[in-house]
Amino acid sequence: MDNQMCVEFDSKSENEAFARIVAAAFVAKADPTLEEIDDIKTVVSEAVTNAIIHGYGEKGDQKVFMECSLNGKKIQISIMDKGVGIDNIEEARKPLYTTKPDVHRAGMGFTFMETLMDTLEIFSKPGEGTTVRMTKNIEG
Amino acid sequence: MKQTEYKVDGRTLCVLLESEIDHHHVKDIIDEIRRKGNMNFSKNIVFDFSKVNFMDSSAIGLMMEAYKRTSCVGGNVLVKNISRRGYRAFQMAGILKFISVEDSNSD
Ligand SMILES: Nc1ncnc2c1ncn2[C@@H]1O[C@H](COP(=O)(O)OP(=O)(O)O)[C@@H](O)[C@H]1O
Ligand SMILES: [Mg+2]
Repeated sequence: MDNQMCVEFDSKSENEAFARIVAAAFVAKADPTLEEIDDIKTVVSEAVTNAIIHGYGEKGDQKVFMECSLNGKKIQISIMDKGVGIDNIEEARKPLYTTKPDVHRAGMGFTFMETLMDTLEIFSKPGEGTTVRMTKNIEG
Repeated sequence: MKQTEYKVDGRTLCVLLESEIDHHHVKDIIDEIRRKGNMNFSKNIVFDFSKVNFMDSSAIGLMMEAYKRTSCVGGNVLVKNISRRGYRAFQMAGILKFISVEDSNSD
């Protein structure tokens, strides 16, 4: 393990920007291209937004956790919430599937995570919360 | 961070987007589009992406909301100065059937 970090922050939407900036700074050591930095920022933004709006239903007083590790050129990012969890993970992963069209969600979050990263795993249980784990090899 | 700017031009509402488009910012932008759009009978919405340097899938939700608003009064949505990356995201989400895109940057 070359480097590892973990942050915990309030489930407030202003922290979407905080989380993606932290992740972008963390991955900088692997000499990513600008495109790769954008990829990391986008997927962190997606996963943290999901934790805040779906996991915690926009209640701002809960905690979101993000862990990043760098092994050589491979970055792993995990985002965790202790919110409502996901009933049907397979369905949730489908493009355009959203349970919140009322707050202008497009249902593209998991699709972006899947296309911009090399791997995406979703661990979730109703009532217990959700963790998404993503990895990507930084080509630089 | 620069705020989103709005300009009313006849029945068109022009929206010069701020630098970061995520869920946090989109909530406020949609509220303002609703307010300004209702006050001014806006029919069309033009989004200028020239200042945007970050967007996630919330930008797609924003476009879908704008499409819903304009299509029911026979208007349309026009997107200007979007990055290649942003254009690809719109393509992936299948929303290019609903909105028009002009001057796509080649970066
Ligand atoms: N952390 C989470 N907690 C609970 N449900 C989630 C979480 N993340 C995603 N989901 C569910 O998966 C669906 C799809 O997520 P996503 O692809 O990001 O689209 P969107 O966020 O636009 O709805 C969400 O609408 C929601 O029902
Ligand atoms: Mg999402």
